[in-house]
Amino acid sequence: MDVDESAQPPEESDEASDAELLSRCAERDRKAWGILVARYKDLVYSAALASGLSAEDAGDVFQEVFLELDSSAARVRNPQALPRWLMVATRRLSYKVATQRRRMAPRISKDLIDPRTLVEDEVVAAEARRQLEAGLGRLDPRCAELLRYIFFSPETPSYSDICERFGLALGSVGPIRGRCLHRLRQLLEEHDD
Amino acid sequence: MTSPSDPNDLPEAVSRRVDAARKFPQWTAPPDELVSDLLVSPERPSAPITKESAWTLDWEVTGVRSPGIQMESHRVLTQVFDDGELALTADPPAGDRGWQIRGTVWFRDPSRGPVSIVLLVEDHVVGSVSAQSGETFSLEEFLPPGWSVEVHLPNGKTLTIADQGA
Repeated sequence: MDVDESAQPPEESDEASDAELLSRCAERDRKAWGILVARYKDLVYSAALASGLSAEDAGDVFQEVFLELDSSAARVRNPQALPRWLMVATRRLSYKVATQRRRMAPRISKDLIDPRTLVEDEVVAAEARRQLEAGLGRLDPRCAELLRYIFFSPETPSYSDICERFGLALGSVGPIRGRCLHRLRQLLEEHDD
Repeated sequence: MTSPSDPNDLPEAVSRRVDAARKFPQWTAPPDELVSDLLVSPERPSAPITKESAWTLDWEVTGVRSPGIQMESHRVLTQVFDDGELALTADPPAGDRGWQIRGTVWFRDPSRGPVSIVLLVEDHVVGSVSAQSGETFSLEEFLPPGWSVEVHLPNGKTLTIADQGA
């Protein structure tokens, strides 16, 4: 099979709904497929790593999950719950890969096979992170880096921590933070609409 | 001065997501080559969907089952249909392998076919294979209770075999 030289993920900014994209994927529309992959690639890979897999195994699971989606596009009953669908597949396939390779079977729970054990909080957290990252990805990179640091540092950063890390004057942190947050809020509210 | 990450000092559309997203702290993009591989148009055909359901069938569960023992059992099924016959077995997981589903479809006219066999968990196609008349097919997967097998016949009809769980 020849590699498509233009095989780059489309912009996440494509606003087509998951339902529309799945419907188009079922008709073998490869542009729609590319948008779905771009939208959910980080969620699937991160969820595989969160199952405890190595990067290599998570890569295999990543491929398998999207192949399962490709085969299932015409059957997905609730396209609005696609993040959950993807996490269910990721967990089951993570168990399969881990068990078949015997690398970590004692450490990975068989519960991962059963969709009923995926709690809604996990799905909400992953989808919130995906939406945030989609917004951050459309900001100026320095803005995105600043906000990620503020949101996800293990230790709550102070203004002086931010000054030191980003080489900013203390008086400029607040206005820069405010402008970055304002733009992120606009992007997220567009998504809410 | 409040903390720069104080949720009370963030816009609502942001704070709502940040509060939830902190429960998913590790966020990692996959390597570019993995993504590129997925964007190459696959040559695989889609798994067929059911247009006309002919029969919904039940497994015959073999072996001793006790209410106090949560063990999966071997399952078998044979079914004669319009112009052929289906034989299926399902062996429960053992060691590092999952459920193993094997079977054969015979048509009175051996030139008919192929059939497509689809293994499902709810609305997830977890495996599929096609087979000619008389050819043995096999699928192996780790499956939760409630999985099912669809056999798509050349005439468009579908035989569905649902698992009743442990």
